[in-house]
Amino acid sequence: MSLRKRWYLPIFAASTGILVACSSTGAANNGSDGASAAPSESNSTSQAASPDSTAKGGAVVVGLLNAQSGPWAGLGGDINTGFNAYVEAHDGKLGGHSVTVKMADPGNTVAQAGTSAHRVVEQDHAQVVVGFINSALAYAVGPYMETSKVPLIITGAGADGLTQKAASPYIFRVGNSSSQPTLPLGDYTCKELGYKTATVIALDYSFGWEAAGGFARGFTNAGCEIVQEIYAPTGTQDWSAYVGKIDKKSQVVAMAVPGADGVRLLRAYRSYGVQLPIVAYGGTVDQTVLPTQGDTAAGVISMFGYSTALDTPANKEFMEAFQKAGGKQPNAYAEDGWSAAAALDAALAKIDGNVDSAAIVAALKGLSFETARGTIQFDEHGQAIFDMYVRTVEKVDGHWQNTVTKTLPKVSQFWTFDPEKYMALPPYEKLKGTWAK
Amino acid sequence: MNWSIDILNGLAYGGLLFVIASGLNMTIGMMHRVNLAHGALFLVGGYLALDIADRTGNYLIGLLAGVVGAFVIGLVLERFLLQRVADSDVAQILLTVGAGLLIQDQIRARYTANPLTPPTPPGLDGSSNIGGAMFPTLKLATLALAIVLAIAMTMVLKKTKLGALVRASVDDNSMARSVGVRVPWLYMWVFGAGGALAGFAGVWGGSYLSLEPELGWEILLLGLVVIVIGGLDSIGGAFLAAMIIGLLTQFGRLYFPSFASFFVYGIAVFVLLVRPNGLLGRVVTREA
Repeated sequence: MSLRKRWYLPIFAASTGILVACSSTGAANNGSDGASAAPSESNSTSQAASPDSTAKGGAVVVGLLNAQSGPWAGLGGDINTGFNAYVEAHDGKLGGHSVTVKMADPGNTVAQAGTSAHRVVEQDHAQVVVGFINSALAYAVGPYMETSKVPLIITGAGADGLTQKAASPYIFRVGNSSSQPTLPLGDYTCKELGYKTATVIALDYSFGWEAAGGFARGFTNAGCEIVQEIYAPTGTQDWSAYVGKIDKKSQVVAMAVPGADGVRLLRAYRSYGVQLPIVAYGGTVDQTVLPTQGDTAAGVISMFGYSTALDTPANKEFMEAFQKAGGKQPNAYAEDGWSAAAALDAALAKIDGNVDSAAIVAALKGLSFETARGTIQFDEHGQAIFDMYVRTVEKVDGHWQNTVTKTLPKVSQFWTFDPEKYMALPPYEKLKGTWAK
Repeated sequence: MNWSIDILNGLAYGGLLFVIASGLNMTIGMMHRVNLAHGALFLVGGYLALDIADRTGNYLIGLLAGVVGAFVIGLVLERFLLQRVADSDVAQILLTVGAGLLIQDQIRARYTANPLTPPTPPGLDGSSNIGGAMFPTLKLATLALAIVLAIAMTMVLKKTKLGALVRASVDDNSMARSVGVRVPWLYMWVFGAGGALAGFAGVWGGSYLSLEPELGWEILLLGLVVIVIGGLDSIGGAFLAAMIIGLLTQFGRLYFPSFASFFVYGIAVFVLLVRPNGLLGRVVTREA
């Protein structure tokens, strides 16, 4: 056999296959608003609601499409658990209508996402679809939702374009767009924290460009200056080169690096003795990674629409229901699932009699409702407007948390800019690398 | 000054890569068993160490648990699965990928997919002062560890009877059997040792990288690249390859940041074009 010389070829073939199928660094991840992964709940496919004589009208079928396999399975499980927790806590009824949740796994490929959307809409007759963490999948499914006239409530996927240039009357989003927290963060860092020069570190794909661009736009618009931009690929194991590059003359470092990369970045940052203060996109220090980051994250100031440390009855209700439903650690992604259910709850309450997709779309339009993070209102592009929280990482009773220090009311995806003018600007992917003077 | 720190960083990353690849070097490189469950064994070591060290409060017990756990799984994999398909690379690929997926999903179910960090080896937390710059002590220790590991593996293979038996069995399986070497038995233990090295890398490297279930596949790819560039069964070659990749990645990130994710694999393609047998790979003149 000439096995010896050629035997590694099948290995490469196989491992390339694995890379494509499994790697969380693949291009298919572009635009997702968190690179981390979180608890995986192997939820069963459906949660039957008990038929109830007090129900107002016909039953409602919801298609729940967050990843149950692939790199986003952990976060997908959290979002699904958050959604189901809300339905359970309300005895299987939303807005007085009994609800059946049909789950399908969009995986992490456009093809599987499409199949799962077709399945819940055509086989299960879902009147509304909730889901998606990976923005590429949300982009791919958008046109199908529009032709089938079934509304989609996006949970985790953050790509700005989904509710801007690619906005559709059938698409709503309860989570933040990638730049929604960082626009005000840039403004706050310049005006309130008083740092005049900043270095930006972000992951090198559309989410990172948008989050970094949002910060840079807010920061420079307030009269301060970006001195350096650093982009690193997702799945960077050794951050020393990037940390070593940081311009020590900047007064602050702004980070948009969620997930395990954020854990490694902060660790490198501390162990190389960089002393500059840190401001961050909230997902960088989300509760999914914060316990592992521990004291390397101490003092990080971040902007996000949610914190588990929010001391409100609504948040307490969410956290308890989430854990009761089998969720392990409440976090912002789980809250997105919870909020999607809260949106449906409020929308369905406006509908009497038979529920169809058209009625749900009409009810969701401009809807305002209460959820764990506070009040959410959909803007005319379908994007949620909600309060942003300025949070500081600190240890309270032995646990690391994001303590809320300030609330910025009703932050839109356009911050204070005029929507039409904002959308006419070049997209952030084109502006990458042009912010630094 | 800055250069020396960058070089040290590159070498330390190379050290980590060698530690990661050492188990693969033994299973794929020396034994020619396709072991695509390497990343999963890495995870088993890391997560077990994390769990046990957490329960007992003792780093060494955790380390031991991680290494032994990966060792036992390696043993079982070789004895009950791979030996049955010793003649088929494709079957070995499928079996080990399958085993890897199973292990990865079990880990996800048990420990969630959130990143977790096994404890840092005692005394290596924090930073050392090198010529006025702060440098993580763990990275220095990783470089030292890689050197020690490379020397130890070479010594065992070249200077001990065990090493001679392994080399004989791989080079000429039937001849080794006919002179009385219990080849399947030997293979089982050597594969187990490869698993133990993967587990050890998980404990050590995990504290450097933070563990998450998906990390297993990234580790496998990095390990494969290192041993293929190095020349498969050459420990010195793997060490050299790890150091070159470490240094080039470090400087690549500094000077050509937009190509950062391309470096490791770009180097692999280039080396294989110039030297198809790897840097220090043996040129095989006889059909094995």
